[in-house]
Amino acid sequence: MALLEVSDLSVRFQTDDGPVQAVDRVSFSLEPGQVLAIVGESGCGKSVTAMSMLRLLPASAKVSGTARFDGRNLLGARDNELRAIRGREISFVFQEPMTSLNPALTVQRQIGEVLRRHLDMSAAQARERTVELLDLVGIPAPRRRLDEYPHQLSGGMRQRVMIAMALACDPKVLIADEPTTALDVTIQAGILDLVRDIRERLGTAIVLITHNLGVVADIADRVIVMYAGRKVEEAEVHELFAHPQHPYTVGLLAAIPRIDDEGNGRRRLQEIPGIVPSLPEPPRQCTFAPRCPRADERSRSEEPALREVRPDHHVACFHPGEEPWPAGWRP
Amino acid sequence: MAGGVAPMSDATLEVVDLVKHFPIGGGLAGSGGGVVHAVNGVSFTVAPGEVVGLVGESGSGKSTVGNCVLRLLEPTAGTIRLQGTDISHLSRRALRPLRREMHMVFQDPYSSLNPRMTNGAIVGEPLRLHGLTRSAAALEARVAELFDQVGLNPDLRHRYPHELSGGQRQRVGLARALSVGPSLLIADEPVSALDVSVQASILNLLSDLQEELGFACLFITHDLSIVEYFCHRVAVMYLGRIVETGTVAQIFARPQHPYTQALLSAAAVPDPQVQRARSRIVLEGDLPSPIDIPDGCPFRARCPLEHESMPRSEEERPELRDVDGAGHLVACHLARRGREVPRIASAEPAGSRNAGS
Repeated sequence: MALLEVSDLSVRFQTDDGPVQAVDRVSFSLEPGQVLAIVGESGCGKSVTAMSMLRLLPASAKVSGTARFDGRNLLGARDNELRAIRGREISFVFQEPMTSLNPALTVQRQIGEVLRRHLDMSAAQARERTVELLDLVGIPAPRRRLDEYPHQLSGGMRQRVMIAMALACDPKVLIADEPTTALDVTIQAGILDLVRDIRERLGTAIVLITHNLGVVADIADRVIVMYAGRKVEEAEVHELFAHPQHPYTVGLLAAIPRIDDEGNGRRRLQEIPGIVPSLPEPPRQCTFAPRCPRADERSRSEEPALREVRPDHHVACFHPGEEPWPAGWRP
Repeated sequence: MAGGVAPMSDATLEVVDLVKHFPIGGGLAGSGGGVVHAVNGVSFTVAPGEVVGLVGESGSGKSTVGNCVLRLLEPTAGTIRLQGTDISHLSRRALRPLRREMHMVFQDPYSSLNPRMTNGAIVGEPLRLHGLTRSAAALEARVAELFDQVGLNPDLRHRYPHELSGGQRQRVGLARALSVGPSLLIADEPVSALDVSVQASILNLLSDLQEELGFACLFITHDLSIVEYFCHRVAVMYLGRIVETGTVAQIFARPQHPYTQALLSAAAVPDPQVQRARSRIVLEGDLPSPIDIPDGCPFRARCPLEHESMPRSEEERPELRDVDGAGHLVACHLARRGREVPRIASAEPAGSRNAGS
């Protein structure tokens, strides 16, 4: 049975410039121990999707749909119920480890707070458990770090402390929003190894929110591609990269510079002309149509539903297929 | 000469033994005492029409090098020559006419454009300041032409930066940089704040313009994959020094310095089959503090091959040496002419731990 089951999740914001449909009827499920990646570019709704599940959005957000976790609908849960779940059963790791750690608290207080709040540990117990957690996330000489402040730690160390804090109560689900984006590549590699290790050792299910398809290729089991608030494609990771079907996914994969071992020099990258629209209302058409080389009358007048085009591979497009974009195409 | 780089009088940019130190502390208490050794003796050249990638992670000193070349910072020591003229310590006034020859594009397209100016005024400003157009009409026409050249609708010149997307703003920044026809473009992480699809279009545009206009470019980035697409030569920096430099083919096909090897292996390839089979070198520890740089090889504390170069690595700092007689320079005790630095046998491939999934 799925650990987390999200159905028809929609999020609307009231902004100064009018309403914005940030997430439009997104459904997915997360299995125990699974690493599910939600990928997309800025403004696709990937972070809002994750935040809305735990009701971490400002009051101006109107959220509808359901997010079932352990038999309860998180979106309808009372505040005190949610507080018992957040940080204990479902926890978060954010992108910026410097701004998400409290600069005035030592590592020990920071992590200890979670342990004492959720698990009623004594100060001494919390201290010992904190050492264990720091050790678990690969921080050398953990006891020495207990009384340090975030500014004394490097970026990679801070992210490890964030992860230790998220794991403090042995959560069933870890939601990681761009956990390696602010880090250097050599540090990123170590954090990805850590995330992999946590899944293996603790069986934690992970929702990984990222724009980096290299990171997805590295650790995800399953991938959801979002565009303009909608889920446009979903498949197992090898299937998705080998046989992308949505023209947006196809374009995105061809837009990334890849290191090869030859040093072949200048090549052209696939461009995706145009910009991601900000939508006041869910349009009755394919949201990618204005930028799409395959769009036709139907794409512009009807919304494509998600359908299975290959085994366990779903795509919301009237013209799915892995062929590359025509050279030099412009809308 | 340090770095083994022969001076080239016809180079667009020649940097020789550049050093930049920042004193810390100061303030009311006075003597903070320490010094941040941001750049510690960097030499390289950029030939006319050549694109050189300066690569490194946070704290490597790559942006400080760029800022010294632009003379946004004054070098502590060393020489910077722009088209043969020593600009290392020129006054602002003496530097002004030379500003035409080098221009920059910054990382953040949001903070690098004046929000109170129209896009057209932003692009036209360098032309105005250098007195390069005779009339308002000629300026207007030139600005429209520049908009067209960077793929922007010329009508956007009457709009303000906040009305544009990140990619469009970066195009405005590029049009401004190229407006005066510089012989050197310094681009500091020009695409790292952009989404992948936008990044691709800016990189393609930069390539096209560089080929068309033939300017030389110092391309500062942390992203090796971009370097491979755009640059002719690469210099890899670590703790304020160049540890390896060569052509793109030399560096990517035969990386020598253990740090370069680690950097290349750490970049995640967007292909699960390839990525999970790749071996990956995970470096231990963090970048040492630039306030207190260790003696000997600056990379030794994190070097997977340190056991092979001990005790020399502790006693002596390796200089850049040519390893192939063709300009592939490496600062590693294990590198010498005709003998390559061993490929680092890494930990198991990332995917092997995923076998059960």
